[in-house]
Amino acid sequence: MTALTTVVRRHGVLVLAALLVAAAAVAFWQADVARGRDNVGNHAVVGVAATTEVQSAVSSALVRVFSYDYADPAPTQQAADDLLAGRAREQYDLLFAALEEKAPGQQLVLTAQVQVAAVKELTARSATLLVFLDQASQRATDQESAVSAAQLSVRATRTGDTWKVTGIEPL
Amino acid sequence: MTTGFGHDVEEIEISDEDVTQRPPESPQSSGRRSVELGLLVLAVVALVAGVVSWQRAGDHDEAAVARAALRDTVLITARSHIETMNTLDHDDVDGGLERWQDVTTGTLKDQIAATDAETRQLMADQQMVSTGKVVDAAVLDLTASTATVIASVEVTVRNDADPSAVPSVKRNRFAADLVKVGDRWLLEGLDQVAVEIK
Repeated sequence: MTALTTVVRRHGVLVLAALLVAAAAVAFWQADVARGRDNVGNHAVVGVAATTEVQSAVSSALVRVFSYDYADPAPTQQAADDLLAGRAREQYDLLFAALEEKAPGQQLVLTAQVQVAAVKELTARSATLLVFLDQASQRATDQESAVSAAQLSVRATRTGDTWKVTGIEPL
Repeated sequence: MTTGFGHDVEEIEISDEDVTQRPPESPQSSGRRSVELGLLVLAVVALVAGVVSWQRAGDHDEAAVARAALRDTVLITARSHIETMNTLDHDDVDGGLERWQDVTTGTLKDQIAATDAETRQLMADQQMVSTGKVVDAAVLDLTASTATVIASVEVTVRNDADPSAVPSVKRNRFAADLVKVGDRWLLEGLDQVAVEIK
């Protein structure tokens, strides 16, 4: 007879209770794991506050980045520095360089306005949106003005507390 | 001999133990028994609570999961309906309008149903075949029975009167309002999102 069987014979009830408590602990732990699990995946529209937050962050970023005044290009450049990252930043730099070249000669003013922005995919860290953006361009030199209606697939990434636009794809 | 001796000792030990346990329960040992039983009951209660908690934890975000599923259903339905509404073949105007009616409700449906013979003939005579394809779409608003979906739609128009002509391809911005009628989501409104900037 080993010491273990002796313990079991003497304190069988206590041993059983200890096993049950251990099983209960496992169950509570598993419950906690299950509660922490995200069964939704895509939180677009589902998480109302988070959806609204990324909608307005991306909308205001696009408005700032796509509005431009030849007389004062600094705010646009600043907005690009603050609000764009990754591929969107690279693409924008090319676009902006071209703009800088011809804008002063044409006295170009661009005004952007987001008609509607809907969130397609949303996680804690990234989002994809469909954005309808209007842009009006005015050339002071010949009083020429034009409006364009854009459809953009926009990717955004959250770093810390702020959303940055990382991809802008015209559809 | 040594083995036998060891065996003997062990047996003696067991019977010793049996002797100490066998006497009728003293008040002290029956007290210990009830404490042990009490602990056992507590352990069972803890286990039951744990298991119940585990089972209920699985659907902690049941409402969100249901809403996500509804969003996906609405989006798929809206995409299909929007494509239907941007598709019409001059060879089958009646069939096309019937499909339009099938995916709409309310005044929009009434308007389509009210298309008179003259207009139908005009549509047929134009020799155009329009095909709509949703390039991208997203749900903007969603309740249990209403939804708004925006979509970027590519409409290809082929002119059968002029087979050599290259089909025209246009991108349009649409906003669609849907309502749940019975168990189907139907279009209540479908409008182009016009440029509003001055």
